Amino acid sequence: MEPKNRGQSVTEIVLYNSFVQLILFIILSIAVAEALLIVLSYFRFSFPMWLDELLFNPTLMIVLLSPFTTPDSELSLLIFDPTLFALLLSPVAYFVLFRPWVRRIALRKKEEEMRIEKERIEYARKVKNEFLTNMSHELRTPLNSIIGFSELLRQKMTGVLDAKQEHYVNNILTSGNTLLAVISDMLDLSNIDIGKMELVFEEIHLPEAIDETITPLKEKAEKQKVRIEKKLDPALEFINADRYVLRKALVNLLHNAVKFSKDEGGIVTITAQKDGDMARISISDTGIGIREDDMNRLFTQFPHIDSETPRRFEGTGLGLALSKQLVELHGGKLWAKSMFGEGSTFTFLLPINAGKTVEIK
Amino acid sequence: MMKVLVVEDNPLNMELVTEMLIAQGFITEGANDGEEAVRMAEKEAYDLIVMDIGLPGIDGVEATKRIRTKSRNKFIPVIALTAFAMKGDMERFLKAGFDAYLSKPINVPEFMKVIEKYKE
Ligand SMILES: [Mg+2]
Repeated sequence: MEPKNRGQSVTEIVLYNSFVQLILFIILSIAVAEALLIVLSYFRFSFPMWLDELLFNPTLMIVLLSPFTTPDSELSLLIFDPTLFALLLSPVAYFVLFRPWVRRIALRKKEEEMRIEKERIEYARKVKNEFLTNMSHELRTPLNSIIGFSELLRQKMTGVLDAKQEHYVNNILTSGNTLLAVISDMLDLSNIDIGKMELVFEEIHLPEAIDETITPLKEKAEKQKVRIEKKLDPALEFINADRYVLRKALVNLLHNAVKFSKDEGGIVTITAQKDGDMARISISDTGIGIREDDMNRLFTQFPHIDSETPRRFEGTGLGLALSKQLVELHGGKLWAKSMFGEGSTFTFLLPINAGKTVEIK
Repeated sequence: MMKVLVVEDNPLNMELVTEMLIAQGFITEGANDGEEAVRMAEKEAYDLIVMDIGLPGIDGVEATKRIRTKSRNKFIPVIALTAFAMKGDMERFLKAGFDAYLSKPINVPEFMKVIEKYKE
């Protein structure tokens, strides 16, 4: 290396030094700003996205640095100067070491936040679940003696009752059982809400399951002069389903069909047929029917609120809302059609092979 | 005559179950919590136990387990009669080793039918 050249390069170096200092100043400012933002984010200070993007934008960095790195015949000299070499290396160090490190911290911080949020949701779910379980238990315990002792009276275990006493006891029993149904339905709905309703699929003999729901209703149907008819497709014998869901939907719809019959009585028809890979079960009646403007309220949880006149859904409680939600949870559908004054048809679809892995041929 | 141990912490429900059992011709004795039930079953031989699950102290499942550690009571029939009656509870308690499961509020005819089975 010749002194002449060196002398020339010294002026260059002085010149470049200030440029390099400027570069370093910019980089240092960014580093400090980033560090500051990381610290602030720990205190839940959220900085705007655009600022973050700006600071971490590599294109921007290149643009900022470009005036200092334009190809220049003298630039090569810088590289041989160890101090300048180190100075020039520092941006590289910044991008290779410091920035990834900062990003990792930010990422870890975000993951930690997500984990805490997940735990919080899980905890809330657990608390609600425990609350529901306890509520159910606490409500059923006193209901046990209300229903139990009235039943003992009705069975005349303590002696004969007069007509009025018997009537009163029956009233207590009816209301006790209604209360029980409301409690069960309410808890089921809440369980669906927190995702705790687990379905257990098993093979169910459909005609048998239908008969089981008709039998307890026979007495009531007779009293109201309602005839229950069955039209069951012989091709649809077994269905893989959750017994509770199937039963709940059948009992609810059948119960309503009988309950909302006309004064002169009528016919309730249960139809079951195969519809592709679904079982299609319809319960139609010749009852009082549903007004058109009531149809959209039918499946809400408290449909009778706001209605001034006795309507078809009065006293159905939560049953319809629950049946619909259960059937949908089961991968099915439930809907209603009605002609006011003529009758209603409630239909639901359930997959025939729910929970079974389908064989691929 | 068959002797039944009724484990129940609610006095009204205790009275109800006792009445029904007496009407069926059983002799009954009552325990108000799980530990008392374990003590009583250690001293006396019962033919049948009607066990509530939600009890102060140890619950009905634990009490049943402890009662059955005594060789004499190893195969004693225990009927769970409980207000834990949500979906899946029946399967859970039958798996836990109860011979039968009845939910509260009690269905009187069903209770009588189940009890009938354990009559000699
Ligand atoms: Mg209890």
